[in-house]
Amino acid sequence: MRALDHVSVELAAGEIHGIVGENGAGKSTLVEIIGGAIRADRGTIELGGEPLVFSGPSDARARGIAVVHQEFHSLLHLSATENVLLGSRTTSGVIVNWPKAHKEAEAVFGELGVEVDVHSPMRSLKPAQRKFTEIANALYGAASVILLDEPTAALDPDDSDRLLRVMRLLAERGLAVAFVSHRLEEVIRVTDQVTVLRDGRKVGTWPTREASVTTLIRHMVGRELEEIKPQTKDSNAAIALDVDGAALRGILDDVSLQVRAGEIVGICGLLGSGRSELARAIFGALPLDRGNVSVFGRQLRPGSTSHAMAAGVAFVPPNRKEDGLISTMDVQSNISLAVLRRLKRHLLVDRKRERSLSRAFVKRLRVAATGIDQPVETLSGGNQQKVLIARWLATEPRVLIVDEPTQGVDVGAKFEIHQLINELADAGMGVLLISSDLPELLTMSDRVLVMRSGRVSGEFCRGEATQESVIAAASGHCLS
Amino acid sequence: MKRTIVRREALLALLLVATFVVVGQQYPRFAGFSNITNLLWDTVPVGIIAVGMAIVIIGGGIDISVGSIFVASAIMAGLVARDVGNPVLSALTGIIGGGVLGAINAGLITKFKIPPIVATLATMSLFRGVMTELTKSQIIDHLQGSFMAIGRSKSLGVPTPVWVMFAVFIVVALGMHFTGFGRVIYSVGGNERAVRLSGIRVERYQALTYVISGVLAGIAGTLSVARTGTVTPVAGTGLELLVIGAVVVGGTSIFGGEGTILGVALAAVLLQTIRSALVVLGIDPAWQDAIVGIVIIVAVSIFVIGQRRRERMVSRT
Repeated sequence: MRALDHVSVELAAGEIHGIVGENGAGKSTLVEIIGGAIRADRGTIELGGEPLVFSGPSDARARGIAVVHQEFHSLLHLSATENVLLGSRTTSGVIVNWPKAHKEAEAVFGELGVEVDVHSPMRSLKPAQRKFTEIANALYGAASVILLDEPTAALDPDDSDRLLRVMRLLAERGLAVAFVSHRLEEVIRVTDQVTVLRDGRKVGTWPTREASVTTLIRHMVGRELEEIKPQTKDSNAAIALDVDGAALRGILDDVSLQVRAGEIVGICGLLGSGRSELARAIFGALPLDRGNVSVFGRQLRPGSTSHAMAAGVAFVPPNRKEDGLISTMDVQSNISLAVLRRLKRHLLVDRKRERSLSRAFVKRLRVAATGIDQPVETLSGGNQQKVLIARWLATEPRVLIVDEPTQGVDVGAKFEIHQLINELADAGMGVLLISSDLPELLTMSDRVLVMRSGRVSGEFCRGEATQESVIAAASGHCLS
Repeated sequence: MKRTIVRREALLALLLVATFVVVGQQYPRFAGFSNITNLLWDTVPVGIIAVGMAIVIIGGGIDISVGSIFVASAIMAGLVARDVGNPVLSALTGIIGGGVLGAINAGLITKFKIPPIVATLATMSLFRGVMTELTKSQIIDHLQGSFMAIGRSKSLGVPTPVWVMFAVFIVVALGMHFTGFGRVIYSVGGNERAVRLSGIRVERYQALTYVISGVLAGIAGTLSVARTGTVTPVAGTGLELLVIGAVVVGGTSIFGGEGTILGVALAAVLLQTIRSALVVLGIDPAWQDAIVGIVIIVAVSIFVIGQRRRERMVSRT
């Protein structure tokens, strides 16, 4: 099987070129080839009409091709300045001229129109600022082509916006910019050309003004996905989740909210708004200083995840790699983890029941795996996410909290996960959906709560919420 | 994943057989029954303790204090055997004593949140220091014969300690494979945060691994003093390194989450066999340590390369 098959792409100077496709379509492989990390079996790379062969990423970098990877590759213990200057010659002799270095780094950030404290170590910078630092590094290294792989995946809406503006700026300065992303709305908004890949082949390249999210999805998936139709919800349904005056010093300040059975309540907020901590606190993974959480009228013991689970709360955490999956284990062990206690007979795990449980969920959620004993780390992002959701559905919850359920998940799986959440709500589950993907939040939620600085700063019903109004409430100022 | 583990254990078994065949050709007695039983007898302390260490490492921790727990248990059991004389009471003192010391490790690590390597490094000195003081650095000997029978008796020609070691291998292997406890330990070693967020009280399980490690070191110490009849506070120095060597050669990931008890058991026997073969072949003792070091490097390199290859396959999605 080929990861890429006869794919040709032209990146024009002064243009942003979107590259989209489902996971496994070959986007990352394409980026790695252009960036010199992988050598193609066949085909050529030309820069300004001149054919090139790279011996590795540093070689490509020396010719002016820079890659900003999805995961951060910067050195976290070093300052922003050091990361900007990394790879360029900065010393005259042996001694580094630090004041000059800082000034140069600041100048690059100034050109990009962003503010980054050049003295602070990378680890203390926000994800967006780290991205800016990596872009600044490319710019400082006199790159003429810059490839950005999922640069906005870990950013909140406000910072994503800022990053898109930076990309525009780069194009205006005459760079060729490639933008690989799952966020089709952003691709439509910012790019000039867009190329769609599917199963390692190029479906086509179009001028972006002739494309729309719907047509892109159709090309990516190769079939039509039906619209999700919102259902009107019963406003007299029982209150599934009741959070009353939740407070956590420095993080949450008197947060109250209710989720009715069958309702999907979306929570939106910038990083640091307290949205993720709220989810953890409801689940008992963070003990609240003050306030109560009740599930169908039953008050939860603060700081006890097992009590929350017994009351029917399930929490699908945001970072499936760090907080969710056991990467060393197979699909079946990952699905059964939260219900191991129920599967035990005396001391032993009842393997037969475990297998049938796992099989049932793999089938129900349509996890594409060779079997329930496939190592979970060899699954695609979307299927890993489904396994994680399956773990929690196995607990038969009545309240489902999902934090970033579709981050880094391809369009097809994203659609299936949305459909699943809708089905669960229709069956009477109360769902709390936390997401930095605004279109997702707006189409899925019956109500959207906006959080800012640990408080609920806005509430919108379905239809009232628009991207602009939500961003304004989240950032605390009106966007003109 | 499953296939690579099976292959690794087959490789260890093959190496073991090859050692016997190669050395046995020159020295037929090396592959004889009595030499093999003696060899297994010598494997007992490292073998039993390695199984406990494997549980701890699979669970994402490490226990450097096993050598000190080993000697402390040997001394406790030895003192009771010398001064009281009841063999059952002596053995229980050694085993439970080991468990108590393991519980101290567990408390430091799970209650006070001291990193395992630091906590057990401290208790390694602490336990040995207390024992040195307790015995005034004297040799303990003149143990009662009934206690010595535990270490020296044989059934079917095989010494009792070897039977005990086999029993430990089997019980722990089955326990790690089939019980909920074993499953949780593997999961915690793979991703502690994820297990905690799945509503499982991770600390309880982690604590239990250190207690089990202590109990097994206690069993090893008791069997050892019952075999030799003497113990001094300097016994078992550096034992933790031999034990960790066996655990990693057995294919256990030092980062936790992966490894099998069968592999560790095979590795413990293999390393002892190689040492013994080097003695029989008349190789300079200085070289013996060096060769064992090389075996560890080669074995772990194979493991790491396998891991890399797997990661590359994963990242190609």
